[in-house]
Amino acid sequence: MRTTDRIWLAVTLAGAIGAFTLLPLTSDPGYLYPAWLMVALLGAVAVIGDRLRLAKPVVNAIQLLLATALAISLAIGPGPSTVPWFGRLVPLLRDGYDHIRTESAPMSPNPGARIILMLIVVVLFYVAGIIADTLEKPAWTLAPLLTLYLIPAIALRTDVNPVSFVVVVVGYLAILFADGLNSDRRWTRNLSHDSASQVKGSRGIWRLGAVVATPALVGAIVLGLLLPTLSPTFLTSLRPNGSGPIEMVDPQLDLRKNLEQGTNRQVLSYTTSKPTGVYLRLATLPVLTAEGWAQSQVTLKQGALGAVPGLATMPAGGSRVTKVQIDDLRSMYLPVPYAPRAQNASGEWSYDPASLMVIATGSNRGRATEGLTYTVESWDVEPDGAALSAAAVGIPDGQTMTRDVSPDVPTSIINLTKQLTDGIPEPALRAAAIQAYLRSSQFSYSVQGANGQSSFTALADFLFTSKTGYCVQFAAAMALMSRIAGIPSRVAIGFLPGTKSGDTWLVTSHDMHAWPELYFEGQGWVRFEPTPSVAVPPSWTVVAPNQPSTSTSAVAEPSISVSTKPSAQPSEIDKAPDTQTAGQVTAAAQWRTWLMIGAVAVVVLLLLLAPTILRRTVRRSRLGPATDPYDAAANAWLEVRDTWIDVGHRWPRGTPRQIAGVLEARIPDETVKDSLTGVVTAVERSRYAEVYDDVADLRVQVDEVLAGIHSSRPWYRRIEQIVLPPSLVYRARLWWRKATAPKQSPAPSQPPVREATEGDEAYKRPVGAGTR
Amino acid sequence: MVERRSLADVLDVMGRVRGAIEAVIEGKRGSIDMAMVVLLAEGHLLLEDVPGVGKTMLAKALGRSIDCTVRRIQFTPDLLPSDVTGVSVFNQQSTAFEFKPGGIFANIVVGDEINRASPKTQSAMLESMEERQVTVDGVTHVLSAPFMVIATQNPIEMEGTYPLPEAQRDRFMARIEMGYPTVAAEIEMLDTHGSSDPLSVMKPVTDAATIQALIAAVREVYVAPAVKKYLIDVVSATRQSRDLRLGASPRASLQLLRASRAKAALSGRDYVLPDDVADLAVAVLAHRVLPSTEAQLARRSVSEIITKAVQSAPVPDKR
Repeated sequence: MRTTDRIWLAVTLAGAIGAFTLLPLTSDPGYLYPAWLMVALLGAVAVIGDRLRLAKPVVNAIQLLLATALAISLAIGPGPSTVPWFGRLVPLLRDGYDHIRTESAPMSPNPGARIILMLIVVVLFYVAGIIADTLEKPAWTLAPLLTLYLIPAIALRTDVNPVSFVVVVVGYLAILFADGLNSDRRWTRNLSHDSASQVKGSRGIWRLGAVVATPALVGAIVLGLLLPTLSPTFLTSLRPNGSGPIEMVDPQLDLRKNLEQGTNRQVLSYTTSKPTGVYLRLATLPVLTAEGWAQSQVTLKQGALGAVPGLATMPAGGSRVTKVQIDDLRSMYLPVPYAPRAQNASGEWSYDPASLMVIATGSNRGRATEGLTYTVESWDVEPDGAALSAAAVGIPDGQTMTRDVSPDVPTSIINLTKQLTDGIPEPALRAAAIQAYLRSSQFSYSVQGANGQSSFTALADFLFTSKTGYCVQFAAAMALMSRIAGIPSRVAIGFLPGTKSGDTWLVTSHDMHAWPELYFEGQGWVRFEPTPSVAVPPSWTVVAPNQPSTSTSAVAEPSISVSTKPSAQPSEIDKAPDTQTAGQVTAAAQWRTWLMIGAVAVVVLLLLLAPTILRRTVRRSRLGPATDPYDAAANAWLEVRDTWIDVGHRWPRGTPRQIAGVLEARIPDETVKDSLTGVVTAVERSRYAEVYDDVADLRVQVDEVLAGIHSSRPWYRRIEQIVLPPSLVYRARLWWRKATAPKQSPAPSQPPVREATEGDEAYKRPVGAGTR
Repeated sequence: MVERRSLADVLDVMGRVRGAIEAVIEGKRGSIDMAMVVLLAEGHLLLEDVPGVGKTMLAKALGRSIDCTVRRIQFTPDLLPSDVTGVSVFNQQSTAFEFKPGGIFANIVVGDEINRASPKTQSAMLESMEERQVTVDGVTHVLSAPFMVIATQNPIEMEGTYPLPEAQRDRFMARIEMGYPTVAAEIEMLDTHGSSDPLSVMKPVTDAATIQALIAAVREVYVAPAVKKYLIDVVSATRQSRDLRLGASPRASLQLLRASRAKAALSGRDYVLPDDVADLAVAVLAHRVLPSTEAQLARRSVSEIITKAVQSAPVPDKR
């Protein structure tokens, strides 16, 4: 096997298994096969090129051309087309880029994204190949391989699967191993077969691999466990966070807490471009279960807000610009008017295309809204009553769940709905009837006495027994009954428009509110308002044709009595501290983050510097004042040896005098030679003379020799000794050799010597003819 | 009574001896030093090379530089043992046998072309070399100290030679080859030796008693246990080498040790280095070992094999 074969085989292996590291990014493993194909092809090209004795840069150029051609043909696919190839390629790649940028991991399948992932693998493989073979610096292939590992690590910003790490490490070790074998074969090439076979190089390489790789792997894993887990927020990315779903806080909890707790504090204020206030929506609950209304799984998208479901163009309500300032609200949902078209809140925000709710994806999501000031541009979905009445029931895109009616719904509720809507064919009018029923005087609004639940039993109790509740019950009941009536519905949670003060609308914690949204063909999601005495119903929801279209703003504070009773519900939301404390907490959290980053940086720095620190410590202890002249000489000699090895020379074998001869040949300075002779004499005296006590000059001589050794190499060759002093490796090798050497029994295993007698066979044998 | 001499004297006296010899033989410092090492180590030296490279000249020059008795025995096939050891002759006046000492009775004996003599004569010579005494007719005559035999030998392939058996070669402390001089040294030789015999004008620079004292001083040179171990490692490596049919004997170890002491003293050290041992190994061991048939077929020289054996011995790095 040739050296190039071995290196490219290893690089191909590294590239092929390295492709797996991108797997967590996408739900479509389709990129793997073209990537493997191209990696294998490029590897084969390199091997064949070597056989044909082509220059390595030429081979690399051929690989590049081949890779480009293959990538293009794979991207645009076969088949005739009137569009020129680049006309198909560019939109494909742009689409893939947008897909990658906007989708959260794992991405849904996309042909452009697939090609881009494949290109990432192939390009990094190609770079690794050039580094390892053409530039003959296999150790530096770590850079492309690490890039391959870092892409998902940065993109996901959660714990990357350890398999990714192992995959990269295995690939890297394969390249290093191939290089080790190569250098081993290379230097024995001109030896006769006998001698070459005596060189147990490959065993040494395995051993070295075991010595280096195993502790490195174990160290990495152990260290990973020991180090404090870092919040990955200091790495920023274009992509949303998380390979799994973001855990979304149930907004109903906030709602309940805000309405039930006594103090009415201001949570936000806003100015808007229209004279009327606006409902600020936080989230929607599209899933109906026996336990109540709940969040669904959403696929978050990043970037500009997408199309408004059910609305192709701006509705009759027009658009408005709202500038919101959050005072005291901690939420992972951004309060925005429906239907938002653009927002500029700082931080990381994604949106759910189905509901257009804007959700924080960064770290510390639960308090993402804290202190924000932002502007939202939105469309006012205010349908014309007549048009709405004529609208048919639609099915929102990908939201069939908003029509699902659980079979567990109590028949009493179904019957009630049928009673209310019987004989009304128009969906909007059915909804209006339901709203009118709930707003009728038989229902009363009260925060007290209501249990805040929206489960079926709670709703049945609300509708038929207590007839008392607050916005949650009204909204939940209306949404449920609308579904029974065949209209897709969901419950929205947010804030009432609040009270106007000058140009500014002030929204307090008691303005938190829930309302149903119903979907109509051509109208999109339309807000209804079944809760009495909190807000007036929107004009389009009122059947009476003669009723004037009034402002949709809230008319009054909800008439609630202050409850001193602690909430029956266990609250997951922290008690909101006052602003000053919050500021302190934030500062402390920031401090902690910085402290942790600093600590990790120090640890990493220490780890990097550990070899050189160790080396310096060894040097200091060796050259320090020694009581025993014998130790002083021995240590001085060891230091000369290690320094010699550190600057990149080989330590010769032989007696101190012979070694000094080799050293002198490399050190030009005459005075250094004298000092070296002095050191060597000291070493010899310490080892072989009867007495040795004269260490007076030794320290000075050693210093001169060390300086001379350092000057025998240019400074840039000495940099490597800072990162990993070769003498440490040398000593480790010596230690290893000693540790693995076959144990010698203290007594020689030869039979006891005795005088030969004439009867002995050995006696008769001629001298020297015995065992040889 | 021999006066005590220090190692500084060794340097001083032997420096003068070296200077005197170098005035006669140019460019052969290695051989001269080796001869001095053997002298101080109480050994005997075997010079082996083709005729005319200065073997006899070296031997004679060494003898002349020291104020002591020097005799030269030219070995020929008809030389008798009694010519070497001496013979008892009946004195008619005293009516008693009188011992007439042979050529061996001198401080420095130059045995020229030793391999031309018959084995019987050779062995007579070699036995007295080892024992430093001669026994004739039951009377033992002790040879005066210092006593050193410098034998020259032509390579064994030369005509009319009786090769020395290995047992006898073993008695020589060292064997060296003179080798041809360098071009510069040879030109120098033509200039100085062309007209006169430099030996004739040579004056002794020291005397036998001094040399005897120096020999005593050399015996004091310290050999660390680690160096002894190293020496034994080197010697036993020759016994274990696959290339050698016969390794070095324990006598070889002893003589290597003595030679190392002398070399250390000549370098001005009062302790022996592994380097001394290594440097002397070929000269001291090469003539005592026999290469195996395989080594001979592979044309590996004994010097190479011994050098390899030396390299295989680990250098002691501890006290």
